Amino acid sequence: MSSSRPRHDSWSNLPGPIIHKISKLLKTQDQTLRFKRVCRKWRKCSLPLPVNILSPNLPLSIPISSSSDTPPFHLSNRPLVPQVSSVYLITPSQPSSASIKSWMIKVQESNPGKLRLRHPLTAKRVTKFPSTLNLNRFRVSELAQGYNFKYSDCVHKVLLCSTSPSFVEFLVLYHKGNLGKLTSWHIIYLDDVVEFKKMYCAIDRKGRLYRLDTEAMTVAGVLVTEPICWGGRPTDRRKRLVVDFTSGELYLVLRDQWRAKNSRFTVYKFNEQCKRWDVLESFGNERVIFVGIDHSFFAKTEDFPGCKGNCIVFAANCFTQYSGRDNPDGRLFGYEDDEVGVYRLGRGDNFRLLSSLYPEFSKMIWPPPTWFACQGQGSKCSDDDIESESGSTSQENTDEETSSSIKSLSDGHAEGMLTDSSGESSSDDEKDEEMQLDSPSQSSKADDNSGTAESEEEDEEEIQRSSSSEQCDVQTNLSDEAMKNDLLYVPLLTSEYELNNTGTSKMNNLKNAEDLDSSTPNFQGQDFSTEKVSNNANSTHSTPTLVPLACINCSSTVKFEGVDIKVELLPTLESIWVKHGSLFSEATVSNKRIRACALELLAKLIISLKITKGRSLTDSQADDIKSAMFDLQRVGLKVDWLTPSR
Amino acid sequence: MASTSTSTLSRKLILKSSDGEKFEVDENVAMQSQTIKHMIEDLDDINSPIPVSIVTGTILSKVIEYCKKHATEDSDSDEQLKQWDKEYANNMDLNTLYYLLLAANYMEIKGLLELITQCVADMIKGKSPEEIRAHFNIKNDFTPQEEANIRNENPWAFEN
Repeated sequence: MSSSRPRHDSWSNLPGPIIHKISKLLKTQDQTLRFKRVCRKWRKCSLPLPVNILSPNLPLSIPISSSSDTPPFHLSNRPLVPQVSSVYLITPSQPSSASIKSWMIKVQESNPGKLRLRHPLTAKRVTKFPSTLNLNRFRVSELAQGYNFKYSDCVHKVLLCSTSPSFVEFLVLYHKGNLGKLTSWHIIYLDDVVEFKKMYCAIDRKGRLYRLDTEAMTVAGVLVTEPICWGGRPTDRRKRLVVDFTSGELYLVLRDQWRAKNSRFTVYKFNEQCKRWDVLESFGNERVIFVGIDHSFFAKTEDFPGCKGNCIVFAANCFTQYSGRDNPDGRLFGYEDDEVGVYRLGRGDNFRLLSSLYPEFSKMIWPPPTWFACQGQGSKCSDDDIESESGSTSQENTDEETSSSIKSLSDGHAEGMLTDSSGESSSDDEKDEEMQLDSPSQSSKADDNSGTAESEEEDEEEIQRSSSSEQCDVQTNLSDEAMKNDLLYVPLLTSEYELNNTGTSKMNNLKNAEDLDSSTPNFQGQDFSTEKVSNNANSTHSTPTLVPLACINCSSTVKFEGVDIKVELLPTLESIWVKHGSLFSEATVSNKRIRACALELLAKLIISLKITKGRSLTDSQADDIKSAMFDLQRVGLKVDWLTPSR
Repeated sequence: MASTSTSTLSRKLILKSSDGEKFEVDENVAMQSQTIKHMIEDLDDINSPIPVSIVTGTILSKVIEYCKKHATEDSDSDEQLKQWDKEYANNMDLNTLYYLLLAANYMEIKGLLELITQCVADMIKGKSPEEIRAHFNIKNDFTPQEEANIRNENPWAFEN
């Protein structure tokens, strides 16, 4: 090949439009930032920095207009807020500094441009931290990225399966293994779903592997037909799929035992040629498998000092029992919810706590290093911790968070976390709120802790067995009929929930939470409010908050621009239409439900603006409106006329 | 010289590279380039060579390879085509990629431009500015003052 030599700096002299095009393909703020630091021309021609840090499309706020179109995994009338989280390995750029060591952390973006810090595996909140971290001093490498919903419960896994840039769609694995999308949902029993080689692959309870058609929401093919286990007992655990993106391989991690003492793991590798799972003695000393609440991923052993590789590092409740209860994990982990377990493959030994087997490695995961925590500017506690995190095992997770925050409040923390007295007082309030919300599960948790838990568990199993045998029938029948039965979902869902209601206390619990939700109106305003943030409260943006409007409720709908909207919002929308014409363009998302939601949100914005003209806004209200406007623009609604002209 | 298909329906065009190399291609292959499409519309004599002024023969042959693959419909599934694209891009060295990028931009071949820009973006992902410079042989032309300012911009901001 004899193409002529480019000048040394030729890449920096690429035509501006090409540089722009390349910068548009960078998905995260961090990547764009690095791109802009390369040279002047690249800086000049690249996109402005996105507000969002982790993902260009998320977080989003999708309003729930009526209970009939609420997705089954979203048991509340709050907006559905898909958010993104990433697990990072943060390494100092100059390794010479002995006091600063590598650290694994999970960051979650619930509000655009603002990150929350969490335990990389258990998702427990970091409570003391500096306001910013200048990444310039560190090498930040992403180990995994995942999605979840802010206020939804019993969601196991969320995958982004957007087909176009303007329309965001998710695959959601929730509850007992049901898989659905935002717009359509189906009842099938699956343990896990991943994206692998541009396919969406899922396993059922027996370990059979399917290729999914996410357009039609059907099984497009069976990749492994031979089951690896019976998978019918309530005490069996949800299996997890792990993709190694470096080698392009798919693995399955099975945690066998539900009894406390001898929890064992089996790792299978997907053999594409023979269409089967191969049991592995070892997956190599150069790799480690991490299994957390939201993510499961491979990482390089060399990044973790003291670790010998070929092991699975996991948090409690990551392999949930089908019964939804997890007493054995409580015993294994000693109810220390920031503890992490490790299982070395092929050694025939049992599960160990990471802190006892690999203390140095363990420190990289938790607690946050002193250099970081010491920068903390007082631990003002959060205002919206009432959220129940999803994408996680369930309500139990929130329990864990609550109990942990209580625990750390009472006994402080090894690394000097939460020593600040102002922090304590404000988190007391938070704790109270949380306690209220979570009280039903708190009490059930207390039961678990007591010595009689064992027998209760057996009883529960009996009850579960009957209901789950029913489920197994459905599950074994992953037949096309069941899959194609699109229209069944609403009635099926109702009965599905009722069925489970009899089996577990968890659903009651959720119901309570939901009741509380609707009966306590001030919760609704906290969706996007960040009370402490004071910047950008531009008075020209002054439109009142959506809070009082959340009370507007009417069941009848009318057609407007081809979508169903609430009748009381029609006059407002019509007057907008008269002034500004159609609000839809080619850029608008095509989904009618989302279009309707967007129109309704806009109408509510306008109404509230009219009602409270001249009233001054709080910062959080301004933020509310800003985020609503931002989202409306993002779904492609023409709202330029609403923003003040400069 | 590029090979030709036996189709009698399609007209032949001759493309001439900046270094004088000539390529005979089917019209539907060449028409994937918007630039050539517009040139043909203005052309009186279809048989005279069409100059592709900034593209060398070596690069033009690769562009034509891409266009041929994408001109034949129905022969491959989308997935196979994507796989082919991937291998095509992976087989290019950095120099070739650079000139392909310029060629695709100049010739306005949307698919090829997307493929190569994505390929470049993938190379950039996960690299520090220093590593990006080293990879693409780019000189850091910021002044020390600018550099210092840039270093302090946009840290991660945390919230409770």
